[in-house]
Amino acid sequence: MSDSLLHVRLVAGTLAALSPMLLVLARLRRRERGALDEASRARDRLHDALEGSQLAVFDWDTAGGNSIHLSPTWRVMLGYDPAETRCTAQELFSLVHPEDIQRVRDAAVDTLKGLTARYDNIHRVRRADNTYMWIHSRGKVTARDARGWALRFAGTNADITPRVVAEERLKEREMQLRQLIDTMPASIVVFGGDERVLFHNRAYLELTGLSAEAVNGRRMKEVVGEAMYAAIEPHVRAALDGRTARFEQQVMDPMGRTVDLEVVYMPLRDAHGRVTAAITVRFDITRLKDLDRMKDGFVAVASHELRTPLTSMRGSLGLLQGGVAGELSDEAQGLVSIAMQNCERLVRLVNDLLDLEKITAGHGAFRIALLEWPAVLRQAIDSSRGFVDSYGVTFELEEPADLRVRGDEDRLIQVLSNLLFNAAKFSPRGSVVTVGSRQLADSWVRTSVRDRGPGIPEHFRSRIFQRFAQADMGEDRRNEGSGLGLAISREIVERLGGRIGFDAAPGGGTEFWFDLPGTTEKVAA
Amino acid sequence: MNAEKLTRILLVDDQRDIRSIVGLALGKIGGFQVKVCESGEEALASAGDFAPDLLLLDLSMPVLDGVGTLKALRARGLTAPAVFFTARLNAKDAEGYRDLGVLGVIPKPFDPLKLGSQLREMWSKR
Repeated sequence: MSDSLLHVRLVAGTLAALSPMLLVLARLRRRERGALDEASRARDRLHDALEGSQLAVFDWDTAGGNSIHLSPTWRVMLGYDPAETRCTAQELFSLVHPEDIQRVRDAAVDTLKGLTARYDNIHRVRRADNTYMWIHSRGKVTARDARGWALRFAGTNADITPRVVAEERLKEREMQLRQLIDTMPASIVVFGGDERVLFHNRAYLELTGLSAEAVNGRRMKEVVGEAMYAAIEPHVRAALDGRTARFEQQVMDPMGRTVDLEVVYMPLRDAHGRVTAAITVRFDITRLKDLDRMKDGFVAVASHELRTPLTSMRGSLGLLQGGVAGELSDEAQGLVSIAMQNCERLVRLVNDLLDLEKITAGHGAFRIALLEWPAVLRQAIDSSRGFVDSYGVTFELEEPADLRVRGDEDRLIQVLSNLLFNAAKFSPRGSVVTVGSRQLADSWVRTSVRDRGPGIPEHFRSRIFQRFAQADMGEDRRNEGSGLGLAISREIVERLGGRIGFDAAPGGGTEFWFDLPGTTEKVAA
Repeated sequence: MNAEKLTRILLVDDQRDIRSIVGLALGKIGGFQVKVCESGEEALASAGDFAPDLLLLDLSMPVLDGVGTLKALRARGLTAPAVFFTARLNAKDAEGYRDLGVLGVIPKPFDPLKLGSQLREMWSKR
C-alpha cells in the first residue's frame, strides 16, 4: 500500500468518522445563518417602519457611561445624513430648546428614578440648520438592576412640528374669532339640544349682567330665570325644532335702562343638516328706535304746525268768498278762489307727505280685518262722488263677486279713492269709470278701476308710481293732485302683501289694478 | 241736551285767528249765539252762565287742553255735547272720547262756510 493510498484511506476514514459531526456542524451553521438572516430582516423591517412613520429610536445605556444609541432616522429628522449615531446624554440635551430643557431634564430624571412609569414629553430640538422642530418623545426604563437603578432607557422621538404649527394656527384663529365675537355689538348665546349654554360672548354678559360662571354649561331656564324663560321658551323650542324667529323686544339692562332689541333665534345644524344647537343673537337697536321716536315726534309737530296757519288762511279766504266782508267783485272773487285752491292743494300736500312718511316708516299700525269686499268698493265710490262731481264722470260698479279680503279698510278706501280720483281727472266729461273685482288664481283678488282717458304716455309709464310724478296734463289740471297719490297707494298695497299696476285697456283708456291675497274665511257677524 | 234746537255754542281755542274766523262763521253766517274763550280756564269760568247747547273745543291748547277742559266742565255738571277741533294728523276718530259725550272731531283746516251745517248734523245725531 503506497503512502498516498494510505493517506487517502485515512482521510476517507476520518471523513467517515467525522461525517455525522460535520453534518451536525453544517446544520448548525445553516441554522445560525438563518437566525442571522431573520435578525437582519427584522432589523430592515424595523428600519422601514421607523422611516415610514418618521420615528427615531433612542436607546440609552444608562449603566454604561451615558452613551445613547440613536437610529438613523434621528439624523434624518435633524437634517443630517443618515447614519447610526452614538452620543452622550449631554450632547443630546444640548439640542433641546433652552426654554424646554428644564422640563425635559426633570421628566427624564423622574422616569429614571422610577417616579413616573413612562417618559412622555413634547418639546423643541435644534435642527442642523439651527431652526427648531417639535418632537413628541416617549420612552421608559427597560431594565433595572437589583437595587432598582436604571440600566437602559429606550423610546422613540416623533417629529410633530406640522401638527404643533397647525394647532398654534388654529389657536390663533380661535382667539381672533373669539375677540371678533366679543367686540361685536350683538349679544350671542348658543345652546345645545338639552338647552345648556355651549357658548356666549361678552356682550351677552354685559346685557344680562351675569357672570360667565352663571351662564356656561347651565340650562337656559337657570340662566334667564323662570319668568323670562316662560316668555322665551316657545322661541327656544322653535329654534331647536329648526325654525327661525325674529322679533323686537324691550328689556331693562343691568343699569336699569330700557333697551330696544332685535332678537333672532336660529337653529344650528351639523354637516348632515340635523339641528344640534340653536343660537340667539340680540342687536341693540335703541338708538335706531330713539331716532324713530324723534322722527315720529317731528312728524306730529310738523303736521300740527303746518296745518295751523293753513287753517287760518283757508278760513279767512272761505269767509271772504262767503261774503262776510261784503259782496266781492268778479275779479276779487277770482283771486280769492285762486288763493283758496292753492291753500287746499298745500293742505293735501302736507297730508299726503306726512301720510307717506308714516306708511313707509312702517308706523301707523294697519288695522287688519276680514273685509266684505263689495261693501268696501261701494263705500269707496260713495265717498269719492263728492270730489269728482266737478269732472262730470260717472262711476259704475260691475256686479262684484262675493269676495273677501284681509286688509285695513280705511287704507284700502284711500287706495281706491286715489285711483278713482285719477280716473275721473283723466276721463273725458260724460264718460264712465268702471270699477270691478274678481278672483284670480291662487285665491288672489284683483280690483280694477278703468277710465276712458287718453292712456298713459310711454315715457311716463316707468315713473308713474314715483313720488311727485305727474303726467303733463295741461295747464288747468296740473296742480290738482299732490303727486303722491299713487306712491301712497303702492306703499299701502305692498304693506298689505299685495301688488299694484296698470294696463292699457282694450278699446282705449287705462285700467289700474291692485291684487290682494284673498281668503275664503267668513266675515264675523 | 234739553234744547230742541242748536243755538248756543261755546268755542274754546287758544288761537286768535281761529277764534275770529269761527266766531264769524258761526255767528255772522251760521246765525248761532257764540261765546268765545281763549283757554280752558276761561271756559270753566264762563260756561255755567252761558249755558251752551254745544261745546266746540280745540284739542291742543297750552295748560289745559281740549280733553282736560272737557273733563273739568263735566266735573262741574255741564252735560252739553262736545265737538273737538284738531290740526293733528289722524285724530279724526271720536271713538276714544265717546264716554266724554263727544259727537265728533272736525279736522283743521275746515271750510268755514260749511262749519255750521256740520255741527248741526252732528248735534242732530247726539
